[in-house]
Amino acid sequence: MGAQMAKRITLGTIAARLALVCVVIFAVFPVIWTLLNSFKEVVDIVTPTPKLFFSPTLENFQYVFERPSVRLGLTNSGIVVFSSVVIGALFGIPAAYALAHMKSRMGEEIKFFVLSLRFLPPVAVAIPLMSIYLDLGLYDTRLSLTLTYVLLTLSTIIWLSIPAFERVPTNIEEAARLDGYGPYAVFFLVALPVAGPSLFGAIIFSFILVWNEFLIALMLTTSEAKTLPIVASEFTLLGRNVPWGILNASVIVLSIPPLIFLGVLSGFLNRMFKK
Amino acid sequence: MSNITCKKLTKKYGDLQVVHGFDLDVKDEEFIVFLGPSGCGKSTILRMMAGLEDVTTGTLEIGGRDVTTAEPGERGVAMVFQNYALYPHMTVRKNIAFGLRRSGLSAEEIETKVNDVVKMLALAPYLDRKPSQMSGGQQQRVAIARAIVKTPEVFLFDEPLSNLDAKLRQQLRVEIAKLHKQLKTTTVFVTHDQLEAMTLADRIVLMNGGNAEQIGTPQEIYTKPRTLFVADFIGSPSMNFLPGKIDGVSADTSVGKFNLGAASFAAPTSGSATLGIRPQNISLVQQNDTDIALKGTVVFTEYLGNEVMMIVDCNGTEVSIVVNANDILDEGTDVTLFLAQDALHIFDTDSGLRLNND
Ligand SMILES: Nc1ncnc2c1ncn2[C@@H]1O[C@H](COP(=O)(O)OP(=O)(O)OP(=O)(O)O)[C@@H](O)[C@H]1O
Ligand SMILES: [Mg+2]
Repeated sequence: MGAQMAKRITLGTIAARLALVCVVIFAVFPVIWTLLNSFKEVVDIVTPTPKLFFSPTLENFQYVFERPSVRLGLTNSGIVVFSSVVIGALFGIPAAYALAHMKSRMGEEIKFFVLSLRFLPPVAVAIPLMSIYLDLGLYDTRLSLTLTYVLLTLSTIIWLSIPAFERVPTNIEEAARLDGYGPYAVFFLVALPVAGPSLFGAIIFSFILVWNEFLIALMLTTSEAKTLPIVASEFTLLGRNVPWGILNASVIVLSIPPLIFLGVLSGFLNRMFKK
Repeated sequence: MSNITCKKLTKKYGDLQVVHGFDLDVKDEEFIVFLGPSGCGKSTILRMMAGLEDVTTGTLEIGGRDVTTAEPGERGVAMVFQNYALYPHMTVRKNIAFGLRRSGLSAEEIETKVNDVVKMLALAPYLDRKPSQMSGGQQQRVAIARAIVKTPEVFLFDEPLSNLDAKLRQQLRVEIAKLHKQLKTTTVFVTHDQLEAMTLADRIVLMNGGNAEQIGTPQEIYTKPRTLFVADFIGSPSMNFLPGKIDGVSADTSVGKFNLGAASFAAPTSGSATLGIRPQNISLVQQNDTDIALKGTVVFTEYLGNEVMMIVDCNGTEVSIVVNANDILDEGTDVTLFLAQDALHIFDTDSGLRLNND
C-alpha cells in the first residue's frame, strides 16, 4: 500500500516534470534558435533541414553595428530610456512616499488616477501627443519622446513604489522623528533605504517597459529620434530577400539590456510575492 | 525637573472622541503606568505625549515647558514601541547612535555614550548585527538602549513587553525596574498586564473608555478601588461581587441577608449596593465573630501551586476563593465561607462608586 503510494507519487512527479520540460522547451527554443541564427550565414539559415552545427560568423553583428541607423537607434534608445527612467524615479519615488502616507479619500483618488494613466491604449495617447508635438515643433525629437515616456515611467514607478513604502513600518519612521529627524531626513535616511530593494525593482520594471516600447515610438518618430525597436523592425522591410541573419542579430542586440535587467528584476518579483 | 502635566487633554479622530478631558500630573522621577482594557486610549495619550498624535484640545507640559504642539524631536522624550521599531537597515551600534547624530556631539562623545549603554544592557556581542539577526528580547533591549542613550527627560513605553514570552517578559520587566532605579528618569509605561503595572508603577493610571478611572499607588488601587470597574479589573482571580440592597447596616443579597455592623460606609443613594470581596479575603475558618458566614458547595477547584482556587456555589451564586493548597477540598464538599468585614468593599450599584469610609 505504502509502496503503491510512493510509486504513484513518483509517476505523478515524472509526468509533471515532463510537462514542465516541454513547456520550457516550447518557450525557450525560439529564443535559442534566434541566438543560433544570429551567428549563421544566410545559406545555413534557409536550408530545408535545420542545421544545429555550422561554422559561426560574426558578420551579422558586424553588419548590424555598422549600420548608422542602428547606431542612432541605440543612442536614441539609450538617452531616451535612461532620461525617462531617471526623471520618473526622481519624481515618482517621492510622490509614492507621499501617497503611501496620505490616508485620506484624496490619496485614494490620486492613486487611482495614477493607475488610470496606464488604462488607455498607447495609441490613444500617441495621436493627440503627435499633433501637439507637431505644433510645438518637437515632433521626432528625443525630448518629446522622453516626455512621453516619463508618463509611462512615472505612473509605473509610483504605482509599484506605494506598496514598497507602505511596507515600511510606521513605528520606524516615528522612532526617527523622536530621534529628532525632520520629514526629509526621515525619508532619505529611513524610508528610502528600508524600501530600497523594492524600489529598485520598480525602476528596473519601468526600464524594461520603455526599452521595449514600440507603438508610441513608431508614431512619434520618423528618422532623427527613432529608437532601437523601430530600427530593428525595419530590417524586415528590406525587400523580398529577408536578411534573416541580420534580423536575428538585431533582435539579440535589442534583447540583451532587458535580459541583464531581468535577472535583477526576478529577485524583485520573488521578494514581492514572498511577502 | 521633568514633570509632565496633562490638562484637559482630548483627542478626536473625526467624529469619534477617544480621550475625554484627561488630567494628570506626573512628578519628576516618577514611574507612571497606564493600565486598562484594549481600546481605552492608553496608546493615544502616550502618543500625544510623544508628539506623534496631535492634541485635539488641552495642553501638555513637559518640564514646565508647553509642548502641546512641539515636534516629537523637540520634547526631550524617548519612546520604546511594542514591535521594537529598530531601523532594519542599520546595525545595532548605528541604531543606538542614530538619535545622537542630531545632538551636535562629537564622534568620540557619541562612541563613549553608546559604549556606556551597551555595557548597561549587555549588548556588546550584538553590536555589529542587524535587527533581523536577533531575538525579540534582544531587539527590545536595543530599543531600550536607543532610548536611554539620548538621556531624555521622559521615557515613554508602549507595551514594550507584550511581544515577548513569559520568562523573557519577567526578565526585562526587572531590568526596566532596575534601570529606573539607576537613572531615575520620569517614565510613562503603557500595559494591559496588571502584574507589570503592580510591580513597576509608583502610581497607576487606570483607564476606562478614554478617562482615568482612578489614579493611585498600586496599594491604593488594589485595596481601595474607587469604582466597580477598578475593583473588577485589578486582582486575579477577580473580586466576587454580590449585588443587593442595603438598609442601614443590614444587607439583603443573592446569597442571603446579613448584618454589616462592623463595616463603615456611606449609604447608597437608591439603596442598591454591590458588595465586593477578593477571593483571597475569604477564609474557611472563622477569624472574627463579625465575619459573614456563607454556606455553599465546592463546584470547581484549580490547583495553582502553593495556593488553590475554588469556586463555591452559595445558594446559586458562584463565589471564588483562594486558600492555601493544603486546605484543598474535593468538589462536592459542603463548606462554610467566612468573609472578613474589614476586607469588604461596598459599591453604589448605580454610580459604581465605592462607599467605604477609609
Ligand atoms: N487612527 C485612528 N483613527 C480612528 N480611531 C483610532 C485611531 N487610532 C486609535 N483609534 C481608536 O481610539 C481608541 C483608543 O485607541 P488606543 O490605541 O489608544 O487604545 P489602547 O488603549 O492603546 O488599546 P490597546 O491596549 O489595544 O493598545 C480605540 O477605540 C481605537 O479604535
Ligand atoms: Mg495600545
